[in-house]
Amino acid sequence: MAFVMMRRDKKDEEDGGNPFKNIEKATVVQEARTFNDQHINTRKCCMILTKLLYLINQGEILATVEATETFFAMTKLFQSKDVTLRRMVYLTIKEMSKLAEDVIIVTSSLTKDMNSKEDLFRASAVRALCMITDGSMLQGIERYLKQAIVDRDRSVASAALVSSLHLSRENFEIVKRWVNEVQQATSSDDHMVQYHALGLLYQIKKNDKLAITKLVSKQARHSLRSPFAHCLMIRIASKIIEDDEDSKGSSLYDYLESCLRHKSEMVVYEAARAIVNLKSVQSKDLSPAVSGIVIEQVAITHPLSVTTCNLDLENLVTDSNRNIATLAITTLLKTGSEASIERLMKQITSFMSEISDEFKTVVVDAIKALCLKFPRKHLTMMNFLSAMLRDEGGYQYKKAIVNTIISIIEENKDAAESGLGHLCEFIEDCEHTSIAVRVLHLLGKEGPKTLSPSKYIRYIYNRVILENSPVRAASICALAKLGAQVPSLKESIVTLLSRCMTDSDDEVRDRATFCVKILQENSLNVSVFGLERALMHYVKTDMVEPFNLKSVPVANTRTESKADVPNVTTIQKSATATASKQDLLAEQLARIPQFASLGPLFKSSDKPIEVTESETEYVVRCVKHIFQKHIVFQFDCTNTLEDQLLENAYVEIEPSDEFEVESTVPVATLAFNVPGTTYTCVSVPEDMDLMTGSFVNTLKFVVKDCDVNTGEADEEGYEDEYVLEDVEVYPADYMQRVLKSNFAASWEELDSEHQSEETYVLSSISTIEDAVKEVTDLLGMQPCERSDKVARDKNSHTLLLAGVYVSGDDVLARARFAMAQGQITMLLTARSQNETPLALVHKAVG
Amino acid sequence: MTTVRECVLLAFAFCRIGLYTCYRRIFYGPPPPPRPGFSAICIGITGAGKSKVLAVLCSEKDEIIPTQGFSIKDVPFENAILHVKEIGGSEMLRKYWKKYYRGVQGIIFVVDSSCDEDTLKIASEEFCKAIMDPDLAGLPLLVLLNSIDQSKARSIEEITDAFNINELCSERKWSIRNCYACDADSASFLALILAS
Repeated sequence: MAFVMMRRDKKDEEDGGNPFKNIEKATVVQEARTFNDQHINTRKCCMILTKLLYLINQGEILATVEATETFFAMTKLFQSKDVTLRRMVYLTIKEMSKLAEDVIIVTSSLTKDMNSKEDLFRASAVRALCMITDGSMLQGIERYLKQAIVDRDRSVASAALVSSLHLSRENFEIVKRWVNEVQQATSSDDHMVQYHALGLLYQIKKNDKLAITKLVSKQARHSLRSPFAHCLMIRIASKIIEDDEDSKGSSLYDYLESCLRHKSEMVVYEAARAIVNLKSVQSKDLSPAVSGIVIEQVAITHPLSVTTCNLDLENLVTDSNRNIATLAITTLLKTGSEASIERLMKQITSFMSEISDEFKTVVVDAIKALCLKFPRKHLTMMNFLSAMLRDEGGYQYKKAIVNTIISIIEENKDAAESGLGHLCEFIEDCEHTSIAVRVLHLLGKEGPKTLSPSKYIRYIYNRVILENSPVRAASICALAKLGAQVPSLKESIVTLLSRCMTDSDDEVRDRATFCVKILQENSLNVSVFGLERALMHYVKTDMVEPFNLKSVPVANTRTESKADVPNVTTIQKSATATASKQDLLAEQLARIPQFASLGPLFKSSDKPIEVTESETEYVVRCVKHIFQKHIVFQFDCTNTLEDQLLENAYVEIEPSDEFEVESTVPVATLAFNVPGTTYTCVSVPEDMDLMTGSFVNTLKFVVKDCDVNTGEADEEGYEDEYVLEDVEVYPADYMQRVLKSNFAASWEELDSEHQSEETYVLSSISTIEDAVKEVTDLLGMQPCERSDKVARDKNSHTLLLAGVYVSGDDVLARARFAMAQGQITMLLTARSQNETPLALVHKAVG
Repeated sequence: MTTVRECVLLAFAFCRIGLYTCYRRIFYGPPPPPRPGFSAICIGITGAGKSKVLAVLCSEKDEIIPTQGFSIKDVPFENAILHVKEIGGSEMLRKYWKKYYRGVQGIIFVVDSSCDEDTLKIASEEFCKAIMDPDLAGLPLLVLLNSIDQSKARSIEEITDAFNINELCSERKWSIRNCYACDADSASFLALILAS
């Protein structure tokens, strides 16, 4: 099947990349309905299932309803006898067993397949069946599973054993009953079956120490065929020996030792590893295990005992098996003394050309460790490494060397000069882009710190001339860094960079232009946060005017010092504040004398608006309170800096157009993590057109540094400000939701009053459901008579909305949606006692 | 040299195929037309004997256990093949019947004619519910009475009355048959109707 798909998607692949990259969940779910067709198109269904599996494995979340729907459609594919399709179905069942409901519906079909003649079906059916089964169902299929465990076909037996292993986690008692069958399976001729059976047997008996010991000693005597099973046995045995300190382990130990002479290498490794890891290991026991293979690990755990073997190891270096020789060398490097290094290095050089890249990498890692241990030897190492750099080698190998050199340079300042020199030479002829980029970055970072930075310019600029675009871009940055940090070179670097401004690659050109600009203007010290925010804001605007960098706040180096211990009473207060509801807010407002004259509160915005990012220095949330002729902005501020105490904090609002700031209520102090509230009141203009708009807010305060431990603040403070995000006032803010139980009657009642009607084309909305939601939200009115529920597959809908305008006038709106040629048109009729609210309604939608 | 040889061999092979086809045409007549396939759904409450009936029709000799879910079987008749989706009738599974209605062309409802009154009542309710489903409207129906050799077995008329079939199925072709769980005749009704 993979072949078929490959052919089908060849065209996609030629376009580059993943053929499934662009598939969408909704489309696939839709496509899955073809499963219901009378005649099953095998290839198409396979393809859809593949897409489905791809989506699930990419972490796409299918809702339960969706998954169940698709699952049931898929069950109909059991009709087809196509082997490929059936196996895809099994896979999908397994994947979907956790997503969909009622998956047990396929139990019968799977049971049937599991006992069918088609061997290709059986193993997969067993696996799928075990995935969908729960404890209560398990008893029903127990008999079949037992049969499958001792099945002659190895794949079936293996599948049954592994599935049972999974099942035993949940249904241990039931699986335990199958011990006889499992026992029988352990003597299977097939390696895999034997291994899986042993695994399951261990799982079943693992709580019974005696049984396990017996199991191991029995299996140890019978020669197991499977090397995997042997490895498992070794692990079990070593665990028993670890657990029991008594001499009971001696027979087990003999077993482990005998495994050292096994013909499979894997078993030998495992046994040797087990032996050296035993806590109670004696050095005489160790000697047989020291075969040069596992000794590297031993070097880490038992450095002293291995030191004695160093002589033997040096003999091993000349071993004909290069793998062993390499490991011996690295072991020696790990255990060796400073004096012997040079001698060892010579030896390594002699055979470096004979070993594979992987082992070379191992050697390089060992050298790295050595360099950090003996910094004085860096010259020898560096020469050696640069010689290796010049040799042939793959990417991984070169990367390892470059990494080593870089870490040496970073650790050891003395080595920097020569290291950079070697690297410069290396990038002159380096075929790996990513390594070159890395080296160039390092040159930019470390170059200015050296005695004569000018000599690197030649190397870097050569890259600009000769290399591909990523390397050129990196070179530009490196040059710019040199230029920025070494004033004497700035002039010439600017000249070089301006030559790059005509480069053929966009990125290179951009970087060159940017760097030249920065170098000429000499600085870019703005705060990163501020820049980000300013840019975000700029992107939201029309971008007619060029972005002005001067609007970004300059970076301020904050004095790191003290913090404040939050006191208990205020925390309690904050707890109640978070539980706040509309009336709680109203009560709070009413207590403030400035606002007493504003009249009754009409409406508060439902959710607080975040006007800062959540991770910034100060967290501020805004709630809008709408009064008859005023809006009060409530700002809940939290200071998240331990070392600061804010005083006299208030939010300065720059209103748009006709709004006027009437008063502000500052919060006296804002200690660390204690929320405080400040209010700003603005008056609403009479003119309806100007009643909405956005407000630019700035948090202003006096900062006082304070001691982290005592919470005492300094006497002196300084004024500072913090730019908050804009707050918008929408038409919907002036509208309160009201539920009219009999909309028609109310509609008739307003018959004689003002009415306005207008038609809109909703081009950006594709379904009526979305349109209903959108319009309801925009108007801030209450849908009546369940008219917000849209019947499926209908082309038209009527939405009835009711609300009260801030002046107290009733407002009713009727929106008729019609869908034609994929476009939604809306006829919006609004009635009210007054003209103003009607205009507002149309403004909100328009 | 080898290519010439291959060509000759290939020519021989084609000749043999051609000759064999001619021989078949002459002695056995034209090949029989492929039998049309129809999909049908087989329902009925637990113990009615759905799996048994289908197993017999497919001449399978597997032992019968209650169906946990559904099974799909192809039942061959002389004039057609029925792709039957049989769904288990336990209380838990009945709610899934609906999911398999779409796209079927015929209904088989199996009843145990010797069951007790309560079971018959449930069967009749389920029957009514299924028959009224819009997906199954107008489709030909075959009611099969199972276990008629039992002493308590009811007659065809009794079941027809109990299920009120005359009234419920006035707008579709239907038939009610005794089923000896072994003869294909009684079950071939559906195939006949569908093939006609």
